[in-house]
Amino acid sequence: MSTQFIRQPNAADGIDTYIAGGSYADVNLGNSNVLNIGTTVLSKSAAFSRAVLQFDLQPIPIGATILDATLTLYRASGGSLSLFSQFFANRLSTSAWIEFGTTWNRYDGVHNWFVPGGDYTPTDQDTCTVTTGGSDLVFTGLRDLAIDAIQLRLGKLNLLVIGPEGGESNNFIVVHSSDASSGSVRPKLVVNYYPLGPRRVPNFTGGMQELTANLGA
Amino acid sequence: MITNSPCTSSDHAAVADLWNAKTLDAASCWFQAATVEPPFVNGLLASGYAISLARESGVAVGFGLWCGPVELPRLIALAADAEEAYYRLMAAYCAWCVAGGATRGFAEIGTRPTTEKARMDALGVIEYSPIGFKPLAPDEQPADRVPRLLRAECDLALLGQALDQILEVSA
Repeated sequence: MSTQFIRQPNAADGIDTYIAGGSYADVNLGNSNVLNIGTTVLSKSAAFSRAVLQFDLQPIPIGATILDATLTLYRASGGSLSLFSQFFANRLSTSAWIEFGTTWNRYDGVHNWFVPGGDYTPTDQDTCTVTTGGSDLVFTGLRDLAIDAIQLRLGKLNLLVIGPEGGESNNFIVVHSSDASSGSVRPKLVVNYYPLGPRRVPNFTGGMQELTANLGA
Repeated sequence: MITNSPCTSSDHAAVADLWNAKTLDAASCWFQAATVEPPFVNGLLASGYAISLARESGVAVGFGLWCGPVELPRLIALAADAEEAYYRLMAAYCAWCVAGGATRGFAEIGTRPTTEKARMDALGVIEYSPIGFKPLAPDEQPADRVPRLLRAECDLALLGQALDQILEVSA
């Protein structure tokens, strides 16, 4: 029987912000109760905005079998978001970012990203396509990134969510952050898993047999 | 007399000229902003932004840029040297919001003392809250953060009254 891990942190526990280019490139927005994602005119220039989030998956044991992982970002408002706009949840390759230090140019208030806007590996990502103007962003395919975080990154799942960039300058979504006053709209990660994956142990006939019992996770 | 009207295709160059001139005004929040070309203005209109142009004796003297959503419309930028043109553009934003059914509006503005910040302060009805900060280094505490960006939000009915009052005084 699988176990469900749900993480929907509040302002005290949640680590998320958004970063924006243009005139906001050196401004930290870690206190914001919303996350802007996509292309819009901020202040006096068209700029891209991206959400940066971290989820702590340490309660999930390293040996667990991850069945699926889904991130939901609840829509607060948005511009004239084009239908079928695509959003990408990428694995941040720089894990040392800090919520109150990160900006478009820097990840910890001092050090620059290798590439402004956050370092990520576009091959490690999940895609979400918006099909109606009022829909939330739901990334249902984060299983591999969750496994990567649990097994290789001390349980820290660091995500950079990128929306439509270029083209129309009013093509963005605003979603609630962990600083939102209502708990039900904060970013939510759900991971379904078996506490310990099937283990293969030698049997007495020289072959292997599956051991599926929970070995104390 | 200053009049406002929605930006049309023949106004793109005038808006771009006003925009670019403001980027050289050291006392303005526009100082050192990126310059634009007329097609950028066209792109804004095509993307759903509203632009209002202020004219005096047929000459463009300022413009305002804003957008929805209806529930909380955002004032993005106002550019005008003359105080009266600035406030008339803000009144146009206010009327646009109310016509769309909004009761509150907001803008984001830097903490640096600028002409625009002083004009907003003078209205006396705008509530500010810090939303952007100087980024913290790993060894600094959240309490040490220095605000750099403010959210300016207000009740549109109160804003309309304050604008009427200030424009009566300046008339």
